[in-house]
Amino acid sequence: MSIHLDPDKCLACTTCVVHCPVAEATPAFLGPRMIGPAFERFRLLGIVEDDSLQYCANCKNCEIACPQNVPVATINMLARLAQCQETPPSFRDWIVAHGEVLARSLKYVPAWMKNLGTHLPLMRALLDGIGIHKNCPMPQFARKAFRDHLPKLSQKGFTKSVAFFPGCYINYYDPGTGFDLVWLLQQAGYRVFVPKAFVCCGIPLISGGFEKDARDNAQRNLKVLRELQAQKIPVISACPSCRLMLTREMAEFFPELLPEQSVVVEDAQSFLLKCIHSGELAIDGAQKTTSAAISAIYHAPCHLRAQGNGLPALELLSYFPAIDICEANAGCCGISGSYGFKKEKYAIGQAVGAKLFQRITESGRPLVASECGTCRLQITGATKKPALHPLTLLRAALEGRQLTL
Amino acid sequence: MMEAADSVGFAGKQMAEDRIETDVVVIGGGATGIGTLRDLSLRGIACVLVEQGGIAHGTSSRFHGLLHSGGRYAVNDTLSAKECIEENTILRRIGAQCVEETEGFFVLLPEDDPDYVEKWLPCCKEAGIQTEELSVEEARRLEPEISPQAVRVFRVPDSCVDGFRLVLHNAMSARRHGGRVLLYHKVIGISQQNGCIQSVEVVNTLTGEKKTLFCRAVVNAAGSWSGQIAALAGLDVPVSPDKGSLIVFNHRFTSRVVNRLHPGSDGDIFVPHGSITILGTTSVATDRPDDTRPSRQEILRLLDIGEPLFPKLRSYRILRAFAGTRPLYTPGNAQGRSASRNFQVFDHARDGLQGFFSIFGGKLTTYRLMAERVSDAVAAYLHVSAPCTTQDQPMVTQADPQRLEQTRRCFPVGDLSLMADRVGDDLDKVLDLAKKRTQVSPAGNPLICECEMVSLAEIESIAQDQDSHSLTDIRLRTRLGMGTCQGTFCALRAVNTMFEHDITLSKDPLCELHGFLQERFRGLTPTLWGTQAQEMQLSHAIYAGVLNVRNAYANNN
Amino acid sequence: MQITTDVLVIGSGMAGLTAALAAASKGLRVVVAANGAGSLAISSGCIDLLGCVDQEVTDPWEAMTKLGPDHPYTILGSARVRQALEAFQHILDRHKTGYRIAKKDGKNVNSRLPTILGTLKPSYLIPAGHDSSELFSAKQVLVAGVEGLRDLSPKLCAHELGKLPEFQATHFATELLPSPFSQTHRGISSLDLARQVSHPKGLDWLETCLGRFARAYDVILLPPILGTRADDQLVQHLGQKLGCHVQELLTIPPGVGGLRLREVLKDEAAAHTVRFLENVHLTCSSCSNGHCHYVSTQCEEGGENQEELRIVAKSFVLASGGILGGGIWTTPYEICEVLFQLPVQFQPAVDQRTSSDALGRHPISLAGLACDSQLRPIDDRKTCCLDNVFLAGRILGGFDPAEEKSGFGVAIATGWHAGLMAAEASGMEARA
Repeated sequence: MSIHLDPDKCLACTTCVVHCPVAEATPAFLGPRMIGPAFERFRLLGIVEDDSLQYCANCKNCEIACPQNVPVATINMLARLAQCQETPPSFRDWIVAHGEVLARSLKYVPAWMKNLGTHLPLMRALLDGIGIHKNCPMPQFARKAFRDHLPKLSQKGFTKSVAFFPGCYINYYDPGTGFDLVWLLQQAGYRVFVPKAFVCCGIPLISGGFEKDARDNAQRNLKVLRELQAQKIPVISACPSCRLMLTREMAEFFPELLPEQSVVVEDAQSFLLKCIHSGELAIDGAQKTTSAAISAIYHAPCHLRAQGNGLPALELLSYFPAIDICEANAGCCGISGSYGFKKEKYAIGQAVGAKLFQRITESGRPLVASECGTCRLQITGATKKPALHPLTLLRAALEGRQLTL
Repeated sequence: MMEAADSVGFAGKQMAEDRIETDVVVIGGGATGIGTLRDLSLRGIACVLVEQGGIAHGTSSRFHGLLHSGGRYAVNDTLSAKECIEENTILRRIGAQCVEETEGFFVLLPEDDPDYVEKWLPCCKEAGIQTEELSVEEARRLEPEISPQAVRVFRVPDSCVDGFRLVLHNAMSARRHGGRVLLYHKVIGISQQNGCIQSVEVVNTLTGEKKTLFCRAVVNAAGSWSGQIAALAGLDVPVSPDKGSLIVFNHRFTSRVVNRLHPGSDGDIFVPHGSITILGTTSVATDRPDDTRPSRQEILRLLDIGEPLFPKLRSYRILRAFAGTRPLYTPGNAQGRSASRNFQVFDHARDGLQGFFSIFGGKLTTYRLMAERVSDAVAAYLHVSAPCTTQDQPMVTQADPQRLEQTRRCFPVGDLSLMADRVGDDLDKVLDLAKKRTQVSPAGNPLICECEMVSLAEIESIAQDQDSHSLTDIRLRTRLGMGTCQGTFCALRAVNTMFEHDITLSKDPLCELHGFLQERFRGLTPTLWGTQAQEMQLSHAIYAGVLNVRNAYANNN
Repeated sequence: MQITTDVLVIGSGMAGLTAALAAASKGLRVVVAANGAGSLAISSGCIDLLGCVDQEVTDPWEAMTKLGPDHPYTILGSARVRQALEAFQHILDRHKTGYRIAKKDGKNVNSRLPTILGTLKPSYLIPAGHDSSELFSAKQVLVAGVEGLRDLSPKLCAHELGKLPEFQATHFATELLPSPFSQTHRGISSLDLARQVSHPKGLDWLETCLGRFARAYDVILLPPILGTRADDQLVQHLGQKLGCHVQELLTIPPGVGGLRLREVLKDEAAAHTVRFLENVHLTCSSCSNGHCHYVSTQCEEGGENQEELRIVAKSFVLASGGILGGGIWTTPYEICEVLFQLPVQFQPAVDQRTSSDALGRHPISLAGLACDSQLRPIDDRKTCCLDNVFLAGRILGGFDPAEEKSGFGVAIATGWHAGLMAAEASGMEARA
């Protein structure tokens, strides 16, 4: 790797250190300022990497807090990519980074059989043996992947269409959210399709240190995105991490792939907000409902906050009196993609999320809403409360029905 | 590269005798002077060096730190070019800890004269400087920040040298062979008897104590100050100080020396040094050898000139600026760049004073050769036949990798190579201290300077040195406070941990702190904009605001 | 995406948060857009009002009358400054923070707080842990540091304090407590320790370490490690347990106290449903006829593919900070305001930005915007530039917070009134 981001703007002011959830949870991590911009000045000189680089969860809270816009976490990830070219990552790291490859190869294995692995104590012990913590919450494969099911779904034949980047989580574990989005977009007069060539956005590959695989994926996705852009077909994503990768980080990690402007992938909630503003999505009926049928607490995923685009889901849901939603406002959940699954990081992840879990429990709300799949997994694992995507809440409000939890 | 502090009034802890007898007194603690001390000491000649400030207080620590391949002088001055490539090769051998073998690029830009290349290439060949043309793509793959407008790129064996460390390691070597160094001693008189040198009178600038050094010969290696020294003996030497200003950037945006391929001019050399990059140099005649204040105009001019080579130059953060004065040999009033960069050895016997030698002009790359030539003259005068051996012996001993590995866990940063290179002969002492501290407590050897990665053990060991009087002396040897925050966080931590561990300096801790911040601040002022202005505001908020140091300092004094 | 609100506050430091609370207290919809967390989080949390005017002052209110006409306090007038501070203090009291002001002859006065360096610094509205009331009459004082905490040398602190005339009858002892962390190569900070102490295990460590000094000292001085909550419970608890007054020292960033205070203010803001937009890099404003319509993250009129965040508001509070905070940017040639390109009135000549003493007064520290009595930006002819933009905090020029010890005082005074005036300009009826 020859990409180095300019560490010049760092003032060493310690703001990132104060807001880093990992540094708070463990003294073993040298902290974002040291591992990021401070070490970066010496990486250019070829210094031996500090062992604690592996503790950075890439949650981006340092970048959110930094008043100087130093891309601290990205500097860390670039350093890790460089490090992994010298020392290849472990088998466990390969597994957690390549969820999509694994899922594809197990395509014809029934979901129940795949999910046995997350239930059977023996399997958990085996996974624990390779470094996936025995207590970490594991996502459950859906019976049918979203992308396999979508073509069979009958959609109204509108002329307007949107391309949906489902991401791995919705595709394999949470197709329901995908269908909710399709339903909502159909209400707004759009046909939804998923281009065949879309692959994993690559963010787990980056965190795991698989530079080449991440670059391959970026190239493939970019090709599709550029074609769509040429056809003026909007692309939307319902996963904050995917969107962060596609619209921001790809340009930071692979500047040579994006010499000019980066691509546009819209946040699903923002897109629906625009549909409401433009009148494409009629919400009059739902707005008349005055009693709050759905009471939820909202957790803003770190990767959404990092995008600097506000919290569109809260914006969107505020149109519906049927939904009574409050913000948890309690920071990172601790999962950070696959970080919280790892045996040596599990305790850190739980410590990071403790404040959020407590806030959610104390809120007394029966339901949690959050865009990020793994955040929801982590929250449900810790609080035992059901966690849904805001789109699911929105659909329920528009349909005027109760949510079955 | 390191720039030295102005000498400030520290109480001394030097040797106390007021009479010293020796064979030779060398005046000037820069590369040439200390190099001469080393040379004479290796020949077995007793000698004492006096320097008015700290080590390398003058020009040797105030230049861009380029160890010339000679490419820059190839066309105009073949002799200099030849000397450069020979000395460059020797220094890489004997001063591995001071030299970073980066190699260098000469880059031709569209606005440069393409015909100059055709003159330059054969001259390099004649001088023995290897050149190799690279495609612009290859050059930009190696150094991505170089302008895509580049037309031709040549590789030469340029290297980077840490001028301060070079002088320090020469002094360490000289000390091992009996050479003595008196720092913070200013020459106030030179006595002669019957046309022969008799003694040199010096005053300790820290304590005011005077000493007389009786000797048979004197070497005036005072660089820009050599005119003033010669005048003390009633002599005149044609030396004019010429100010050169430089910019220090916060990060290493090039890993190679990058020169413009055109006749030597201002602001056309970029030199990486550890974590930073230096751009230099201007050339302005001055009448004061201690004229070391760069002006804002000079800095802006350097940026204007440097920008075509590195298009993003203005977006890189400037840490500070500094200046030094070149001691140019200017017979018949030659000036600036037209003045020769050659050196001269003067035996003042021809002016009627036996045993008094002056050496001046030249450049840091050839300091060893200069020392050799003047030492040859002195040895001949003293009828000593021992030849020069400075080109054969490494200046400090190479660190034992096994020992470093064993002590690695006693340091907060895993990579000990930077530290080992910095401390030279003091390495064993630093390793022992680190071990001792971490035995007492696991957190016993914390990182004091996070920007330049300096641990307590290193600071402590340097502080115990008899020549360390202030935090600034420690800074020069460790790089404490020379990184991004320019002392904002580490100044306090250094003062704290030293006081806590009963390591004392000459002054009261608060005065030390203030003096240190003051010195750092001075380099900041000509470049006070952008991110560095923000850093200054942060530092000010901490020391003037939260810690209220100015009021405390005012009340104390 | 477009967001519409009544009041938009730009900046989430002390001034921005205060402005948001003031506007929200009038029942308006308030959005805070922030680029970075602001320096409140790394500060000490002590609220300086006015500590020095040429020399240290005891009564900040009296000293305020001596300030020049361009100082934000003079522009607001001390009555409005007092009103803002009282409102702010009311919020702190509601959250049971234990912040207090020292009294002398029935008047509110500055306290002098010891720092980790053994210096004293004047401050005004003081968190419970920094209460200095016992220190100056104490006979026996213990300065306790922690092993590995590089920011405090108890010996140096005691040495410097012991030199001061105030402490000639005081005996200072020092102690280095063993670190509660097992082996780590990280340089630990006061915040690390405070977080540790906020857990029962960490508190137990501190109690055990200090237990043997119980009743031996009148005051124990510690780095700011007494937990991460802005209340006086831990201070009281330890004080009772040890039979002495426990006090925290002011320290360098991260200062812990600021983080504690920020949590309180953010909780208060959440209770008022103030909405926060984080990591927003506003670069453009749309203004016409001296009126601002919206601010945006993109300068060009967006094509449909442009990803833009546009915030439309009826009024705006600009609390984006000074040079350090990034609201003001300096170049070799000039000093400018970043978002609205407002004229920077306090602009020293380029070669006269600094004075010779590193710790002295520097003209560059005064750089910032000028405002009218309603805190709206004015140009060199004293004409209001934008009628619905109100300035708060360090973006204002004409004062030097480090020199005067007035930073948070100005932030709160201008923040509160900017918030109120933005609410008024927003055309909404005050609820209460």
